[in-house]
Amino acid sequence: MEPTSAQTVREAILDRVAEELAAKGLTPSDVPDSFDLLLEGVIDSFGVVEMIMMLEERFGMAFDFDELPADDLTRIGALSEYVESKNGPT
Amino acid sequence: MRIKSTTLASGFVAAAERFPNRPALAVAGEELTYAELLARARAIATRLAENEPDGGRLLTAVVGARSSGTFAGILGVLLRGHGYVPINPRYPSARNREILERSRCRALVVDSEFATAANSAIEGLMDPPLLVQTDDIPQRSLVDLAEPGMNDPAYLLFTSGSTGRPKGVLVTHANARAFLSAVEERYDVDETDRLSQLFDLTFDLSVFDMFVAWERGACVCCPSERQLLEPSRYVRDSRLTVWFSVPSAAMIMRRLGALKPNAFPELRLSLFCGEALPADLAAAWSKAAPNSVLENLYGPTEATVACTAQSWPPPQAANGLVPIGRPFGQTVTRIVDDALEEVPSGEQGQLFLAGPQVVARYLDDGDATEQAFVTLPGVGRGYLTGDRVRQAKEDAPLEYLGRLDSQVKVLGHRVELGEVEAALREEARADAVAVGWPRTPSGAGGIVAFVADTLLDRVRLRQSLSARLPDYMIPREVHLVSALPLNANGKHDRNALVALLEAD
Repeated sequence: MEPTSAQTVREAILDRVAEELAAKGLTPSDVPDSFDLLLEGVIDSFGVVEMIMMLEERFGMAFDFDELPADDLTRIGALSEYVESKNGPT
Repeated sequence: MRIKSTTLASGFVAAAERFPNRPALAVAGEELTYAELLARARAIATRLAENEPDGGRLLTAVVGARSSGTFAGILGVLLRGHGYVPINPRYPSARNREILERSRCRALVVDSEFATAANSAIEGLMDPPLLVQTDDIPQRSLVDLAEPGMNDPAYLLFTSGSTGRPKGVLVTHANARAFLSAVEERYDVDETDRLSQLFDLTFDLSVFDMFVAWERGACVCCPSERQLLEPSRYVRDSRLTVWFSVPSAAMIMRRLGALKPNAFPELRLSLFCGEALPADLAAAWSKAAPNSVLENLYGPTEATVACTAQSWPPPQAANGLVPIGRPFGQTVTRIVDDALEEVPSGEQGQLFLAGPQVVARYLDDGDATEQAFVTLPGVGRGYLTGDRVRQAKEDAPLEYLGRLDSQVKVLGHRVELGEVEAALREEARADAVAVGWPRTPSGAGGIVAFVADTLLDRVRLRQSLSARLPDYMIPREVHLVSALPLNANGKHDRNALVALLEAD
């Protein structure tokens, strides 16, 4: 499994939604950590689940929804940090 | 003001007179009583009447999503005696403009929150409708309001059309009344109930959310998308007693770990409709909501919201799906073959629906009307659903087996793949095929497209599709291929494309 830093996770997320971002005229560097993928209409609740599946598979971790507030689930910075905390560089 | 006891507006007015101080609507942190919602709706109806003293046309558009102004707008249009035409502000302007043109609305009611979408929808229209904002209308005494007849439209909804043109389904007050009477008898909602409002207002299942509640003094509760990521907290905090959603919403909750045993002890009734309900999902839900009756409902827009139901647990679920059960109310069902002959018990065929919930026709589309609305000897005129069903034996529940055509469901929305393909071909200027793909990682269905152009700019394609199709019709994935496989008949081979996806 590749070492997981929040930056790597962020890139994986942005890569996953690259087409949707581009269609909205955004480039990955425009996207601040507070960017909310759901509220900005980049993904729907369907997409949230697909994103989680992708992150679990790619980074060999499992989400525990009891410890992750729903607000953090769709914000790119908080989501990246959560994945790092579950499987960070040691 | 006198309103017949049979229209959508009259039930709300009667409940408001009985329960003026009970909550009617909880949305975006705001709770409105029946008296408050009625006052806002009356002001809007008055404004509409003042601007159209001749009674005007029979349909008025409402642009909006879940907001108090939008709900007051729908009620205001109905109090005015018009049918409402819901328009989703997030759908492309071109699509919304087409709806306005075809429905010939003279007025458009909009909450200021959605005014931008309303303005871009009417941009370029030769004879734009009058824009009525739902906020800042002074509450004034009513002028005489028109009273609709039972055969006047209650609402007009548009659903996907296989030729690329959406089909308008015109539902009358008589259709709506037949549905509401049947449902009220079945579920006995009362003023202590609080119902979830999850369906888009352009989707006819929202008619259940609003009017089943508003005829009985119950409260309509609208969660935000974010609150839906924590459903057990929302159900608890808003004291919901009735849950109604598409099965996909429950599937997403299960994936998010939200369907834990006893997660929703408050619910007394859980209803699912809009797409097939997997039996394992229903079992998980009934453990999460142990004090709730669970029912699977079925019904196309053409038969007004829902017309058959099956209680959980069913006697059988042979194909892994909860059956769609038996007709309720005055709906009559038959299973027919291509020659419209009834098939024997145990054999599959097409489901035909008749009765007062079935609408008469599509808007301005004689060909589609003629194909779908037919007369069955001994039964009468009804609607051919395109749904493949079976009944194991006489009086057994109806089992849903699939479609006879290329319609698929995405989050409960009907999508004709032909409509997506027509858009893909025009925008990509290349041959294209769309397939329904049930096994996306979220466990619910989506659309995957194949386009015969390996050099195509996918971002530009997505942009141009977004300008003409609602989000749920836009393919989740677009695969570029050098050529599309053909079958022995020279037609696109969907099965070969699905095999490609399965091999992935």
